[in-house]
Amino acid sequence: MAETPLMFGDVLFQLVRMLVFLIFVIGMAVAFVTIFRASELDYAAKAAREVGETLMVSGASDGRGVLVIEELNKYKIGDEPFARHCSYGYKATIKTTDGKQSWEFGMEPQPGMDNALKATEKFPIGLKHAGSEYVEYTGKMEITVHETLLTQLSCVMEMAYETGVRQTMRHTLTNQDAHFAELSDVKSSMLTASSIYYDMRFALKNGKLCAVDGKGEPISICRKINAPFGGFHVKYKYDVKAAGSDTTFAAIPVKEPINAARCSDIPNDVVATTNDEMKTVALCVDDKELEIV
Amino acid sequence: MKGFATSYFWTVVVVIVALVALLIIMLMMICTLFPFCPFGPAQAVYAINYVDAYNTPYTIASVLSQYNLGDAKGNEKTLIDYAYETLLTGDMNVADKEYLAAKLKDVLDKYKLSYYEVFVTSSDGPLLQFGKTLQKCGPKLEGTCTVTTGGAVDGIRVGTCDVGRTEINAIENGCGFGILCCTTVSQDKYYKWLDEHPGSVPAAEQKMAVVKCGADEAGICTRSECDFGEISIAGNCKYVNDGKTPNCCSTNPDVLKNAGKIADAEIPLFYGGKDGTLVVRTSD
Repeated sequence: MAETPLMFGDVLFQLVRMLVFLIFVIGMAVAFVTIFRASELDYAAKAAREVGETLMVSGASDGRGVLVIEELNKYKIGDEPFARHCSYGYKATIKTTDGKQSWEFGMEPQPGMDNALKATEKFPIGLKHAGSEYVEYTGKMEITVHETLLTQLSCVMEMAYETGVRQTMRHTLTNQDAHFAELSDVKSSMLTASSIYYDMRFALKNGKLCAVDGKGEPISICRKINAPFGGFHVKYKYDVKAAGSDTTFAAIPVKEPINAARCSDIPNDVVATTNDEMKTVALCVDDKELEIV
Repeated sequence: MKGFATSYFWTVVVVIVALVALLIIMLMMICTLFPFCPFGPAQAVYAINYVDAYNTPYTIASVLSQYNLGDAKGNEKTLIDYAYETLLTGDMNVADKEYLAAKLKDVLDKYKLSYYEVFVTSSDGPLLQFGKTLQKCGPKLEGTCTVTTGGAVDGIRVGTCDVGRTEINAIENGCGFGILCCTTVSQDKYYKWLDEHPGSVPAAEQKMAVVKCGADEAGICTRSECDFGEISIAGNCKYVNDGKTPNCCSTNPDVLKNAGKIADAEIPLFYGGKDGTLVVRTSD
């Protein structure tokens, strides 16, 4: 029996069927992506717990959670001893439960940066003197971690130095990052939003990465890093309308110190290809998104 | 075309199913925009969070193992020393128990934990237990120390340990002055105990039904609010016993463990052919 040729209605039906399934697949994909975005881990809390757990079994301790007073006495605010999280700075506050003795060390959060990714975790501890057989005091240890542009940059710079490989970091420069920059210029306009220009400079001060002003004086809380660095300066336009400017920072191992704000200004022959060639780490920004002046 | 009718029918069915699925997904996505939505993204965020309670018991156990709790005679002793002594002798004298309970309370209360419990078990069963929220009692530590309910409420006798629980003779594992040692029993045993202990307060013949509540039926619907020795858990008791037992109380710490609110640090004990475990159970 000869086959009946396909009618227009059949073809239309097949097309509708395919279209419905196409929409279904796209809908499912969107749903999965949305759920994935919603299922974030609390990375700041995770970092705080990791730092706290590390401190409790570090060189400062004699058995898990029993901290040695003489070790704690060696450090003050500004040091980050015993533990280090790459992109989060930590501050430890340790107190005996009677409140008579306390210790503080680590990196202070940047004042005024309320929106910085921050988390605090508390840990029960015991305290003893070196050589003492028994725990002498009960106490609490509070770990506060915070992530700012400066801690993130210190992380990528150290990673670039340790691995000898270029490291990049996506970041949205917002109002909060003005803590690491100097206001350079404001151009008012009747028709459009005002244009704000910032000078952002980073430099090493006594082995610590700091945001500095035009005279090289620190204007931010600094963080100790284990990487040589020749300095960085960029003047950029802040996108007021978008309330932030997306950009990519890069830490590049180089053969000689080079001060170039734009990554494209760093010549290929200066970029170190092996750890032996590397002399320092250069910091730069991708000027495709950020308007560099 | 042969078979086309069947193909057409099932295709229509599948298309309808796909459209309904899409509609549900869209409604769910729209729903997440509203605060009253039962499956918002915020819920998913908290679902993958860290439960702090898991590491605290290990730290507390470590601190206690280096803490000189001492004894009534002035000797130096840590919790580990006490645990081994109890394991080897199978028990602890009352004076030492009272001393250790007071000393542990003194140390652990400083950490302001909402829940703590320290116990030693051997292969034969529990040997010793000290706790804040749950203080075990009775010859085999089968009961929990509880504040009395007073016997009768609204003319209905519920017993001194409230509905579904009865007093037991704690012998040497007592709870101290004015505190009862109560254990959970079946409804038949509970009614029998009530009949055998009429009490001084006149009460009607009516008895409360023993109704289990909460996850895994770990609680009992009780007359009094969950007090010392009891953990308040979510359970539908509102209409049980004509609304006279609206509180769901449990004496089983597993309800807190399963909720991630408390955790155990277990320290194995081996000595002279005997083995046991020292368990430090705390909240965060």
